[in-house]
Amino acid sequence: MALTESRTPTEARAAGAPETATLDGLVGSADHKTLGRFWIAGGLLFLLGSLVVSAAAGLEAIDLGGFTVASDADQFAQIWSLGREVLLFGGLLPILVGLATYLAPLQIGAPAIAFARGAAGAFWAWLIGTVLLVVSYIFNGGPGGGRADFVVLWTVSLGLVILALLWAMVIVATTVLGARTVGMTLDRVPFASWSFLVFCLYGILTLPLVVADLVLTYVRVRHGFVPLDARQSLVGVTNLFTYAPTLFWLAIPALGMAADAIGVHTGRPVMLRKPIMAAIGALSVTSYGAVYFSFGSVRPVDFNNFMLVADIAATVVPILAVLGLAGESIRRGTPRMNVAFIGSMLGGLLFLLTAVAALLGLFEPVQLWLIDKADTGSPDKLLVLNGTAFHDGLRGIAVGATVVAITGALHHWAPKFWGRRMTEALGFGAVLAAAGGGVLWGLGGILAGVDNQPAYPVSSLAGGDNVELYNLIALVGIAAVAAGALLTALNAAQAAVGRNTAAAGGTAWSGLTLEWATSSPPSPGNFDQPPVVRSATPLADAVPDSGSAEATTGTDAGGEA
Amino acid sequence: MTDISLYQRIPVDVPESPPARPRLLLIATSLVAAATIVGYVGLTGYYAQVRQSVLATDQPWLPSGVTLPLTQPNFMLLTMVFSAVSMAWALWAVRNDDRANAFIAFALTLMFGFAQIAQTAYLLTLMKMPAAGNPSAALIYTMVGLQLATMAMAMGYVVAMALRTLGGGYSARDYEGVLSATVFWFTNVGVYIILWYAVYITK
Repeated sequence: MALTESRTPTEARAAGAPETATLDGLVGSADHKTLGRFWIAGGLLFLLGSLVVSAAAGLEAIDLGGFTVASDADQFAQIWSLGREVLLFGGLLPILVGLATYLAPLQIGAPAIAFARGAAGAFWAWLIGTVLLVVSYIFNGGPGGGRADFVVLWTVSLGLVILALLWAMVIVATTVLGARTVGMTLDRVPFASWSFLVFCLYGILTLPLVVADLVLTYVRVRHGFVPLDARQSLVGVTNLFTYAPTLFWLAIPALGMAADAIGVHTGRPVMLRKPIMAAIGALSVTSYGAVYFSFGSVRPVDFNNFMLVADIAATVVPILAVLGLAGESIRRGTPRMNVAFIGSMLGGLLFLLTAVAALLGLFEPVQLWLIDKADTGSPDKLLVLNGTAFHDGLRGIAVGATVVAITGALHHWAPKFWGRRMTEALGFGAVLAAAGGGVLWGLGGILAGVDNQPAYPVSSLAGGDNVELYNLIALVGIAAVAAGALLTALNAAQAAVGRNTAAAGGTAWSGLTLEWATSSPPSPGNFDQPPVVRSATPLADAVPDSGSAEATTGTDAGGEA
Repeated sequence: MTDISLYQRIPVDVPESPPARPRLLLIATSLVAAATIVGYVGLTGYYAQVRQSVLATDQPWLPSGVTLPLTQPNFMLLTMVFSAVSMAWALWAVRNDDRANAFIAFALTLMFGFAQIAQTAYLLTLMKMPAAGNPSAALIYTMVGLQLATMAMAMGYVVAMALRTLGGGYSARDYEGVLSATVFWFTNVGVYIILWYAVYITK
């Protein structure tokens, strides 16, 4: 089967025994379920590593008197940049891509993902690229790097990582657009899959800009256009993804997964489907920030821009809309206070907090008030937050929100992934740590920004009198988010290896979307028969004598452990 | 005399043919084409911005001694237009089960692709632009290099689809792969037109 081919439903169902029975089968697998697990496992590992590195950079920032963790400003820039890049491209995005790779085919009734070999290629390319990215930093490469060859390796490896993610997103979007089962029109697609489609299309229309910028950076570094003392500026290549409004790209799948989970755990499917789908789509428009950024190594981010502030203001609306409309199920139903439900809600609320904080921070009167309160600014410091650690604070809340949302989603779909539930106690710990950590990280960064601390990385750490305290708050936040991610990773590992005795026998929730119509975890080919769908809640429509596969449910459909 | 026993052996109750595959390859190709255009247009915007800022300081955009002749770029444009026609011809031929015409058209398209690459290489030698030492050089080489990379991908795609057509994979009944390759080839032509205008014409 070539990279450009997809299995027909018949071929996929006839595939026989799982490919993953042996090690070579596992490594060579093109099954979307295996690949989804790989993405999630790899993403969690790199997420943990990146948070540890980010904590090291945060540790440096609590003492402005000199360098302790790093030897100089360039090394500080490298540590900070490594943490930021791997956090996003090695951790959060791969986990979201993994969830999409695993869930989208199941939710739309497809027997396999489109271009299965291509999907496998995307994962392995990402893994190799991420390892090379870390290696490039270890050998003094990356922004601020002293060895030109390893700065070049940094551009190549980061480019490979982004291209792999881009290809994986093309595959997921193609699957949702082209591989839906009979009757599964786009407006019947579950929220999670809809949000994966929007998320992937967003990536397809944004990531190529970074790839093109990396090619330009490669040429510049290779031919000596970026002298040694200017290499810190290369950190700006990935700025696009760490500032509002592009930061809210991560909220798209988080909200989609939350809407699905909330419907299930309140016992009341979300009714206003089309407005929610429209809100998720609108979020991708308001958060599309590529137009505000420029190529090149030094890119001042001009937030003194009415359209940008209006864009961020508009971003609040779809987030609020999704939460409000999904919240209608809470009012009508009986919410189960489990990690899946609380994590889903809390993740969405934290994104709302990020959007509100971004808006307030960029809103001129609020800035004046903040600067006045902090007694650090003069009128000429208006919009001083633009070049400060304020944006690192926003990123901190968004990272916490994403980790919380991922934890909620893993708890919700754990029966599908591993045939077991995840432990609730560990899950609650993870959600609390990540949510609290995100808020602290955000608070520390925002306050440090108000106290005039320049945006990282800087040649000399600086700021007002209280900056060290604020940086300490941010450091505690990073550590808490790391603890949350660690708990989630341990919990998922327990469920994966089958040692989660508390969850033994637990299979599925009473979901009404197609992924719950098959066994947990699903067999090769996903469904015994091609499902036929007549509504957005196919399991509610199942008629035992209909003779169609919509009634062909697996061992656990509709069951509740 | 025709041996009719062969025909007699064809079963009457031939099972119904499976449903046509959804157009996954076409969808994916369209998405990749969109990504390619986004990346290239973004880079072109940056090129125009930097060029404008240099010209605003009354400095020349191209370093002294560098010439950018128009003959080669215009011939390349012509080559690319011809290649678009030949690619459309290949698609038309496959849709009509005209395999002879299809392979001639595939071969012509690839030949035009090679010609464009060769002309670009010749143009670069004529330009004699050092890779280092001037801010315009990195941008021009990046834009030209990315266009060549797009061309290489498009040619690889056409080769794969031509081979698959040769193997009987595509015909009038199913020509999705050839259609997808055509979409990407046209994207490639579009990328060259952007390069032609932004770099070669405006200089």
